[in-house]
Amino acid sequence: MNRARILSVVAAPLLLALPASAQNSGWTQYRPASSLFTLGYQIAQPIGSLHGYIDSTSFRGVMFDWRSMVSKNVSAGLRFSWNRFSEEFSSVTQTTSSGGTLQGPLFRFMDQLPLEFIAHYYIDTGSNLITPYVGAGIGGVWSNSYQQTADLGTSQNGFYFIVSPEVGAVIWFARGATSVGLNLTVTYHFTTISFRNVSDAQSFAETIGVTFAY
Amino acid sequence: METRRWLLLAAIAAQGCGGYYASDAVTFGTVVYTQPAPGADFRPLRTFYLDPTMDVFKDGAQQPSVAVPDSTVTTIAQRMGAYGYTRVGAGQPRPPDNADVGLRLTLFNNSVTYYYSWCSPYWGYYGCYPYWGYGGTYTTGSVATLMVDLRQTPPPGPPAGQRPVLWANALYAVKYSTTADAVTRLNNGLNTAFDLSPFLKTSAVP
Repeated sequence: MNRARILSVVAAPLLLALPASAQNSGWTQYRPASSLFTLGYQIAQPIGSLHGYIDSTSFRGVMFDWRSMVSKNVSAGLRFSWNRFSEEFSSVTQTTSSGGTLQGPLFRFMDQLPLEFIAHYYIDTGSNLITPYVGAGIGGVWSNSYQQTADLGTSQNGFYFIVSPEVGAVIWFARGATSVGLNLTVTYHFTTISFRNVSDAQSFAETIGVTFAY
Repeated sequence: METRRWLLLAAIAAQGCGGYYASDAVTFGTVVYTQPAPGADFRPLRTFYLDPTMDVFKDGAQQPSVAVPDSTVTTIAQRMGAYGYTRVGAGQPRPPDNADVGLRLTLFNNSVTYYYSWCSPYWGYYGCYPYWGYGGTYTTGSVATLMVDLRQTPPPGPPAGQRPVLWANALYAVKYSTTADAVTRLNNGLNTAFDLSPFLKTSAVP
């Protein structure tokens, strides 16, 4: 009995003690993320005159961006993306400028490779799980279009202007010194890409990607 | 499980890397081209002559002519008849005096896609691929047909000594040869060319 009492007297301070605080050596300090990297898969739907040229959804696209936080809610950075729109037609009838008519199978594709400066504003929802944002990109886009009928092919390429507003959200899987999240974005691309009967090629792109923030 | 993951990655890679090349249906398909001469008036025409032989060119050099297949002659005669033309001089090597227009087929047996314009004798006078025709690039086995105006002899020109071309059509890459399949492709291509050329109709047809 005495032995038990002695043990409880020794154990009580240990059980009641608060967790020990470490000395402030710097490594436990909270540091908000300052850089975000996103790598994503992108699909895109042509609209406007580009839709008249190729009406198929592009399932071939990637996006990579880097963002640096310039304030608590604002980031700036760079983005590269690529989309390929392609379509094959079993028979297309076209008229020539000289009054002729051509009919035959046709294959077309158009590559779009933008390089943009981007800026985003992150909406503070008070949630640690999701970070919605709005943003925009502006820059240049290289485009290459190709058309083939039978074994006769022609291509056109050039460098054009692009602006692309977007909305999106990051759904965080894990948060800490390095955070990881699922990035979902819808982007509207307006470009000055023009070829054949396409002028100012436009599209909507949806991105699903992974964002790393540290 | 491991295999399934690799299959998924392969499927994504295939989806991402594809789409750069046309399928065989396009690459080995046939393109039909047809065009009337600017300002051509087909309404007063009534008779046509079809040359029973086909010119042959290989990489720009003229080769011995070959006979037009019987079924092709029948196809052209039927389609021209439907537009109000009567065939004259059937099987003869030269057009009779009452032929308003003459038709001759030309086969291009090039080893590669070949760009040139050609001229060849059209019954005493030259007929040339017209300046208003689209392109001048012919792939292996392409067949072109020119309709030339025979109503004036000698032809009025300009250019002097050259028969005016009223209609040009070309079946790019129809891959004509003497096999039954190739003849069928040729006839199908010609039918498409006639389908796309309602301007050939004469005033004899309502």
